[in-house]
Amino acid sequence: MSGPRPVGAHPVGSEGACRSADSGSATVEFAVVLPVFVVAVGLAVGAVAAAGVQVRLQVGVAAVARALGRDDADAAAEAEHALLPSARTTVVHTGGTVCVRAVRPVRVGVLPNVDVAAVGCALESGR
Amino acid sequence: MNVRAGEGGSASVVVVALAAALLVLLTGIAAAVRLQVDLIRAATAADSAAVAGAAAVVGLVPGPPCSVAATVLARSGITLDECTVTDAEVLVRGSSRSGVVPVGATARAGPDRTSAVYRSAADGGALGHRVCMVCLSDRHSSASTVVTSALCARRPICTIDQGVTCQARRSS
Repeated sequence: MSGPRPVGAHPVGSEGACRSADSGSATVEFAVVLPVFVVAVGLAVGAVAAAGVQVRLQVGVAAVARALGRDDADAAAEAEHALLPSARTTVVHTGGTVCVRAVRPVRVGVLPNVDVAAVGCALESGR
Repeated sequence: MNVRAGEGGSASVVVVALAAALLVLLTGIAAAVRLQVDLIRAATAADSAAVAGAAAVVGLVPGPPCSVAATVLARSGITLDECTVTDAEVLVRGSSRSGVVPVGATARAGPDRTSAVYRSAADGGALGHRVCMVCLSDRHSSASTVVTSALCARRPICTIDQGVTCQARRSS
């Protein structure tokens, strides 16, 4: 006849020991996965934000290119100020067209700044 | 049977399933984001091309309207699929690819239909010194048709110039 089991002692190979060890391994796995998941979600959110910036750049360079194409410097400056803030812009005149390229650094999640660029072209009329 | 090994495997399966779901989710988000950017690129290029073609129609620039439109589209890396000149209006349809998904945009530009310039250009007559272009555009993709339908009800999307682009003619 056995005596009372000491508190905290588990018989080796019992079901209770297995459950305890397994819950520990699962916790470790999720502890590894969770930061990866958080980083991945952060990257996804950053990518969507970067795409928003690129769409804005694309709309901006197209508007500036058309304004420059029709020789409307005021409208070009207004569009650049409104749609391309803090972006580096370069203008290239080639073969009767004017192309505007804008580059803006964007932070994507935990990554360092990534340059997002857009190019828009329009016809140079009246020249 | 080793109960510990069996339950440990089930935890790994859950982790692998989560990782796979995450990968699919991120890939989908990346593809959708790129598709949207490429659609905007095609739409803005088609806008500029249609306005350029219309400028040629009304005599602001020399050359055949569709040739001028194709030049502007090509500078943006978009292929001209269709170009139609009706009276003083130019309809341009261009396309490109977003990965494996074809994307395209349609734009129509010309002077205001109620303007004297439109009537004059449609009749092949002389022009004034300032022509205001009206441009309507639409963008399409086989992958975004449902989304576009839900969000925009397939309406033509006004161009970024709020519908009107004034094309000033230089007095030379």
